[in-house]
Amino acid sequence: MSQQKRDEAFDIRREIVAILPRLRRFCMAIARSADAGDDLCQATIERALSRADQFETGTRLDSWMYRIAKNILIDQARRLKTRGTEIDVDDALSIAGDDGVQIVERRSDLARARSAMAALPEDQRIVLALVVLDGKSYKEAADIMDVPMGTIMSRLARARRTIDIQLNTMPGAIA
Amino acid sequence: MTYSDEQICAYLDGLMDQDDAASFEAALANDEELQMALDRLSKNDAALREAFEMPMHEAVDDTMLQRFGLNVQPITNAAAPKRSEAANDNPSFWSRRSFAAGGAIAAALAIFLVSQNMRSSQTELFKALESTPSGVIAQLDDGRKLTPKLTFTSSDGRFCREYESSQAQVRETSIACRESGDWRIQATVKTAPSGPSSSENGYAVASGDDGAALTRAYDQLGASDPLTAEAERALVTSGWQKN
Repeated sequence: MSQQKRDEAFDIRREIVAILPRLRRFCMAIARSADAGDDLCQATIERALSRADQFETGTRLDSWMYRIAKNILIDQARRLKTRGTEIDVDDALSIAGDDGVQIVERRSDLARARSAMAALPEDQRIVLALVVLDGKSYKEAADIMDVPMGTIMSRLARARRTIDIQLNTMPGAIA
Repeated sequence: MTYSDEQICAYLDGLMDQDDAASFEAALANDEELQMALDRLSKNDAALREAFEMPMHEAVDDTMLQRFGLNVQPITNAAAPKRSEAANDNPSFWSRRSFAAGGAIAAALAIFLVSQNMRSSQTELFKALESTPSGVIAQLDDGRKLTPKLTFTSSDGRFCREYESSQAQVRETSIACRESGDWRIQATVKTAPSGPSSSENGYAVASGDDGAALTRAYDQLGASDPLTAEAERALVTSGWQKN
């Protein structure tokens, strides 16, 4: 690795630290569990650092890294599909926290929200994470997903419809 | 309710233009069903944000930075890449041998015995990878069970296979690539805890003990999509000859 490449990796490393919480949230939301999310986040960072010279200064680092995470997730899903195995959607994120009935009930609601997210097809999960969790515009989401804006709108509508059914009409729905 | 889900989403996301938003709000005032739909979707979004906010509140401290390989220290020398960044940080052939020997004779004997076991073990592995289709379990003479999971090509044109091997309580997932008529292990991760170390089985853990190590190996190999069962069968039949 040349000195220039090492310098680039160093600079980008500092910028990644600044967006790390958002990157972890995005990865957890699309990878369907906390552990898988951090694995995905780690793989994304490694790939970004190894390709730091490909990052165009002046463009958005978060969008570039979300695109990398999306590509890794899709590659992983393709391999899992070939293996014939599937991630358990009940393997929801665990959250450390307080005790008490209300907290337990709230946890249950949050777990339902995470399970509903995990049950979505991956393309809808990614769009929902970009727009609803990260506040990306449809245009930014379309660029990251490399699809037309109309596709983003229809995926988002389908995802929200499914989430709505899961959270409001299934047994144990959030009040 | 005359608005589509896409239109309700656009309003919710603040992406409806001014005129359309005004019309939507006028309709909203007289359409209870639309009000309820908007209210539900808005609450659902809030529930999702809360469900995934945990990473936003966790401190980005040294432990976390180390975990993600983000320790912000300038790299000023041309040292070898860190273990986590190496393409394949398998120790050299002889450094894989973990044996204790009190003297030169004992050491030489140990090297001889281990290398004999290693050769036998690797031959078994070679045979299984060479001839076993993905999804089929091969029982090796040394007691291991080996199951190829999939086959792909690396960016430099080698054929590679991901496989699982198990013996007693040890289960490992590895990637090996065919090179100069031999199968060489690129990465190994333990997929089940406990049991003897992998080095006792003839090879060393290459890049760590988590799923990210395999992803890293796939990345570094520039893996293609998995080959179809038909393409894999053709390779097994032809002795892994390229077309």
